[in-house]
Amino acid sequence: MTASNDFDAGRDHDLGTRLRAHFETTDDAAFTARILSRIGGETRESSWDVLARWAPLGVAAAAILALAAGLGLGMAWNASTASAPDTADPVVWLSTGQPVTSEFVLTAALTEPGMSGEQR
Amino acid sequence: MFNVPWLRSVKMDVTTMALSTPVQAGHEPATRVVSRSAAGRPESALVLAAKGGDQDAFGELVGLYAGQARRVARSVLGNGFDADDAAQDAFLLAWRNLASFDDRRPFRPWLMRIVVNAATDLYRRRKVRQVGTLPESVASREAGPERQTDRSILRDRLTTALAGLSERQRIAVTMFDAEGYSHAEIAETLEVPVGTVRSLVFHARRALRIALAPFEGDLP
Repeated sequence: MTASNDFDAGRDHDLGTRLRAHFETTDDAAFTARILSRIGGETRESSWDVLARWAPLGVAAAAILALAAGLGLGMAWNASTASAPDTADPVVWLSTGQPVTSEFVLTAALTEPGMSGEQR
Repeated sequence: MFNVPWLRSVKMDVTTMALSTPVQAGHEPATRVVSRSAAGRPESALVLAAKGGDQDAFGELVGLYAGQARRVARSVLGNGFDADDAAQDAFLLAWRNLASFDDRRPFRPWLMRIVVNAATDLYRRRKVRQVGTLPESVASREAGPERQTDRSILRDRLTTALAGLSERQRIAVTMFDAEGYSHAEIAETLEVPVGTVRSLVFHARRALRIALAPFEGDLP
């Protein structure tokens, strides 16, 4: 061996040569050609190909999510409007427990059919 | 099928020059080996082209590293056929995963890591023990040493000495002394600290030097 010091940071060229000879390979060109023939048989996907393959599924999922969100919003809207008290009706208004002025009751009574004298 | 003029000449022109590259904290500065294929294209250009799907460029990369990959795989598996299978699997895996390779990093430690993983994986799966056991032909020749040539004795000694090393020691010493990889590159390949690589190389060298001492100066 060229370097007798085992701690030597440099390469031991004699040992390297022996190891290379020991693990000697033959016909690297044929090996390379074999790999290339394998590679030729497969097409490697680009990231766009992967994206394109998942696109229909993604669009369908987005549509379902949008539909579900729309339905949810619609139901929430309906629920909020249904729970609001009919403030034009003094009976409903009174049931809410809020203070009522005499003008409001009078106005509501006058708008009731048959109270304004238009029936005649 | 492929237009690969470089295949006509297997002889590769490999030039090395030191470039500073960022390496993991605690590791020595890595040197980036700039290799050129027989066609003269630098490794970085080949990697970029191959990442874009250029099969000829990848073919040049395979031609550049086929010998190294096969020898490193042999250092793990011993058996030539298994080693070639592992090296082939590694190149195919590298081709499939090239898109995920960060081309700011050196290419060959990345490739060799795939080779080492493929070889060790095959070793585990097949539970191959060729490296750890002497081939029958070797054992039978032990009975009649007079019939052995010095070269075959040397080869048997080396086989036995390598069998006594750990898998990582074999890989480290092969990559360092036989293939010219730096400690940092081997550390990146084996995913261990540089100090561990130094230790692996040290112990492997010591064992091999003791085994080969009687053959001092006799190159195979």
